[in-house]
Amino acid sequence: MAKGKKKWIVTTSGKKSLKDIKKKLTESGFSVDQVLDEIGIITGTSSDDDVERVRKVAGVTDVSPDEQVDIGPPDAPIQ
Amino acid sequence: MATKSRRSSKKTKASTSAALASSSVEELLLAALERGDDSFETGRYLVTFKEGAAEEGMQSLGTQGMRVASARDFKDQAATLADVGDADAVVFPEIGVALLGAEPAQARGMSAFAEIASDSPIESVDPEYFAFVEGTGDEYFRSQGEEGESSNPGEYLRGFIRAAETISKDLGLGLKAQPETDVEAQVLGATWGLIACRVPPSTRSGVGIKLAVLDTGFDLGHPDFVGRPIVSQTFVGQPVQDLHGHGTHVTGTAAGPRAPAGTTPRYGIAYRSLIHVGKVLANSGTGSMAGILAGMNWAIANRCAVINVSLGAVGGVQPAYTAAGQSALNNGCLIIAAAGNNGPGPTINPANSPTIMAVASLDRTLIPSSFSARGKIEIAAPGRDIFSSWPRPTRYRTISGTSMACPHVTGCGALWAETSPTLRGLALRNRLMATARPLPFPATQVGRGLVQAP
Repeated sequence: MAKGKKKWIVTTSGKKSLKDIKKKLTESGFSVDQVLDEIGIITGTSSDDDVERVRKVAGVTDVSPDEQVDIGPPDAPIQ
Repeated sequence: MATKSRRSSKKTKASTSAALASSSVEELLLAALERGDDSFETGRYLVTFKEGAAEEGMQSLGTQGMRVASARDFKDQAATLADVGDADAVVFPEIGVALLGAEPAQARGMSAFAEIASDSPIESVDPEYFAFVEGTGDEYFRSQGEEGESSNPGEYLRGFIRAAETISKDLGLGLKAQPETDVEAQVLGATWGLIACRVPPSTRSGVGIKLAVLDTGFDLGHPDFVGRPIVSQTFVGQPVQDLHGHGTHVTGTAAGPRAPAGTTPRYGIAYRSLIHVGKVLANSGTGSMAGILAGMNWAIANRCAVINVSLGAVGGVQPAYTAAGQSALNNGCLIIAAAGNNGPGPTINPANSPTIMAVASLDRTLIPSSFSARGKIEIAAPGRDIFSSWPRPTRYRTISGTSMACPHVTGCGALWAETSPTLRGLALRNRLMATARPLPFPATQVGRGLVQAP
């Protein structure tokens, strides 16, 4: 990942073609990692500036930073 | 791409050689004794045809290359199995049932776990079980100076041990099975969680239901899951094999066996469901939303009726999880998630999404666990001191958390899904909530109450 770039989760309305949205995202400087057809979500990498353009793409309903999940070590008393 | 690891067990292989359509009961019992199998299964299968489709079904066995003998070929249809010689199957046209030898069944992918096409003349494929005359157990009880009830499964097991012992003695093998004094506890024994959810009396097994667990993977060689078809996929760049333990524990509760070996109590619910393991957390217990969403996408693409997500992060509702939950419901799937161990803090994501079912944890006394998150809660389940499978060599562990409560709902969800093809998605979620046992606590802590098996 280039400096200043972050991983993002792009949620779509499901009403527009994911293929078209993917194309628009790429044109906006967004580097697509995965296209999740069943749930209408695209994940990838982008700078904060570029992601503002992604937010304006038709069919995109949300753009949120990818977050880490941690369930803790195996010997944790509560899991 | 999903990798399908279909592991055939030594147990199955050993039984294959003996379990012919024409094998005698003695041969089958001896084979069961030799392989230390106390499942009551003979190794053969019974195929039941749909009403009015028996003829078509029987022909279909023939067109699949099986040598089929029909009871009609015997006088008064009194077929003697020993007389059918090397036939792969014996059909009983009057009752629409066929008996299949283990090998011809396995060679054609027919098993109790296999899914059946909706246009197939076959209604179901079930393992054939040994049957014992009730008197055998009674007699044995008396000889041991004990009293017993005739409908007691422990008696059947005692009868089984006695029958196997007698046969081995007759055959001069000198094997002596030890009658165990706590055999009843072994048969009826179950974890407190399963008993609270009324799982042991349920006649459902989750057969034909796809059940997904998105977690740290699974111990694919765990002895309690030998012979179980498992579909698996990793989303974290590590092999599915679980080196953490969390995923193996959660999967055990949701889908572990009806009768684990030895003195281990029953800890698994949907014991004939089709397990789909999606590894979305690395062996360190960490992952990212992107991987979890990829796992959800995979489980929905596989049309898993129930999808267990015993993980999450503190924070507000994530629109991506809400969208994934909605896609699941639209496709007849239900995502079930742990409420979080940050109690009395609020429900974490993804459980806080309105399209995802949030599960709170209960202690053994059926009070909410102190660690269980509050707020948006649909249902509650046992989550304190939960015994389940753990990767070898440990094999079993007792741990606590809303992660352990969640698979109780997932397992029961698979049992409910089995009762009707209309119980999917939102209808399944509504049924789980409507049948929950009410508890004297606010809905923000226990939702509609304690999940119950059908």
